[in-house]
Amino acid sequence: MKDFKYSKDGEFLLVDVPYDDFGSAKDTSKIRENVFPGQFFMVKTPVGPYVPRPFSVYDLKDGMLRFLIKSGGEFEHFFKNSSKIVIDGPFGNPMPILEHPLLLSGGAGYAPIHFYAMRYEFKEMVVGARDEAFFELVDVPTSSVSTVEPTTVLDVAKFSPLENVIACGPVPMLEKTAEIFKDRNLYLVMEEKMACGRGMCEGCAIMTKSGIKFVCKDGPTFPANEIMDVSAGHSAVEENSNEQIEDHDQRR
Amino acid sequence: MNKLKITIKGVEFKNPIVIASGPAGFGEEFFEYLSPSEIGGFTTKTVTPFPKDGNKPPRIVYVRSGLLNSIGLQNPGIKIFESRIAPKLPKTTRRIISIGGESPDDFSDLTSRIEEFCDMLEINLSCPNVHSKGVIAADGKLSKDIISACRERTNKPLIVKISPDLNVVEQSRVAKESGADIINVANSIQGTRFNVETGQPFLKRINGGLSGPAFMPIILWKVYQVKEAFPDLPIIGLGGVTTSRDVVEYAIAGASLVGVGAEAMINPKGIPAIVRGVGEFLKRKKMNFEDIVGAAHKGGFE
Ligand SMILES: Cc1cc2nc3c(=O)[nH]c(=O)nc-3n(C[C@H](O)[C@H](O)[C@H](O)COP(=O)(O)OP(=O)(O)OC[C@H]3O[C@@H](n4cnc5c(N)ncnc54)[C@H](O)[C@@H]3O)c2cc1C
Ligand SMILES: Cc1cc2nc3c(=O)[nH]c(=O)nc-3n(C[C@H](O)[C@H](O)[C@H](O)COP(=O)(O)O)c2cc1C
Ligand code: FES
Repeated sequence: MKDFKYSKDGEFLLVDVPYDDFGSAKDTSKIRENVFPGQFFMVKTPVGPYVPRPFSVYDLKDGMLRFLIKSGGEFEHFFKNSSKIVIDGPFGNPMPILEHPLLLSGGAGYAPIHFYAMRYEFKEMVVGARDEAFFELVDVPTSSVSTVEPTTVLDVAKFSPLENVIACGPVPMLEKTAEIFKDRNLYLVMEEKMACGRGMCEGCAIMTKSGIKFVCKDGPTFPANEIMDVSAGHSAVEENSNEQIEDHDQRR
Repeated sequence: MNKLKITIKGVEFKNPIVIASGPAGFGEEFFEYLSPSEIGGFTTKTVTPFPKDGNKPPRIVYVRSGLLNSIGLQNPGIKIFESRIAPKLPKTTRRIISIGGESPDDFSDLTSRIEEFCDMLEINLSCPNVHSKGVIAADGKLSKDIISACRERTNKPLIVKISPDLNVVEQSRVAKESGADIINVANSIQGTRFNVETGQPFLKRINGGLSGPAFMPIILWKVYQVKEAFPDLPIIGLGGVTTSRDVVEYAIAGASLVGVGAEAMINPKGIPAIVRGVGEFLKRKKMNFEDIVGAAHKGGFE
């Protein structure tokens, strides 16, 4: 059975799914050891969508996984018409455990940030959303700062002196974060459309300084200075884009 | 007796389910979810003469009941493939190696270098995501030269993978006359989606290859057409399979082997259940898989 709650404006929903994969642990309290902040599950219902969607873990408590999902897509359409949720995972790598990090999020990007902050009891957070309704849905530690448009997360965060920073959110926010914190130890939680989620299909490619990497297998968290172009997967059609990235096959 | 067994050009498949080229890569991750001995065959992702980085992201667009992909044949190239990957392909399933390139020389060189590592070779003339000029299969003369060049280099069965965007009967005729043993019908069909917020296509190259159940009826029809035109030419039916019933439909249309692409990457653990389901169907119908191949051309089951 599924359990869920919408934000007042209908833009986001929190979905609870029982998680009983104990791995080798006998004790249910050990379940938390199987899933780490930054990891994601491929999520669908028995009736669709055909390609399950990657959603980051927002929380794992008492054998219940929680996801924070932006509404309006195909997943929500099927979710409304199904009593069951099917999950596959966890996939991806945990976020690195940093000393006294500054955590930044925008919109649904709060999911992995929330799980990270809860598990490791980090408190320096700036959480951004378009509307107050977001903050009535999610739980935000009292020590953190919430911003609502037109104020942005970075309007506040730019004054922080903290050396370690992790950010997750929409591409324009990540681009700006990379610019403002270019001299800090910054990590970005990246997003690309995924098909397999497990490193087989080469669908979620991202360009890094050490070549092509895959968000599902090598990420989703990357050091910001490794990423060639934060908005690569989201920018408009470019001139000459009919070319491949770099074709080694240039003999003739 | 194994009802699922089928022998094609002297190669025995323990069941007709063959993993398609691409979605399951070279099998490294895929075979963490199932044993190679559970499937009839495994096709590698297409290998090219030199390493290819593939296309710029995004490479995937979700569509209802399917997906568009624009991977662009990313692969490490033949050098790394022949030294590190090919020798490790599992021998408990039939190994099909898919090759891609541009000229007859590219293909014949690849054929010579990989043929010892596989049970069959698949010549990919139909990748929609590489050439800006279009797929090789659109050029009959080039297709013929490529297939003939490969034929000279190997006695192993040659599969030619054709494009569903062009006349499939004509492509099959060229392939057959040039020495191909089996036709793979087909690669993904070309499609696109536009972002209504920006007025631009989601994919940088505009179009991508559609796969998944959304296009299965289209490919089923094409399999039927090829079987009708060349009753003795074995066919791999490939496109949109998600259930054992889909596999049976492909056999009825004329496929001797049935490919599974996207479903293998989405739910690798579910593949053995598809195989089992076909076995149960045959048991119920008291038939062998070989008996149902092309049933639609003979007025249905006897
Ligand atoms: C590792 C990882 C973790 C993620 N974690 C989360 C998470 O925790 N929460 C979350 O909400 N997302 C998360 N995402 C993003 C999410 O997976 C994608 O946004 C996914 O596509 C959502 O699926 P959907 O079915 O809800 O929407 P989809 O149907 O895939 O649609 C995506 C968006 O595009 C819009 N859209 C659809 N068609 C068009 C069109 N023709 N033109 C313009 N717009 C269109 C939809 O309205 C929707 O807003 C994550 C992604 C990754 C890679
Ligand atoms: C992610 C992805 C990668 C693919 N890569 C290749 C490839 O390298 N070579 C090839 O011949 N076909 C490739 N294909 C096409 C598939 O082999 C298959 O023809 C197509 O997906 C239709 O089958 P399906 O509906 O079962 O996925 C790819 C398809 C997908 C989805
Ligand atoms: S989603 Fe398939 S490789 Fe990442």
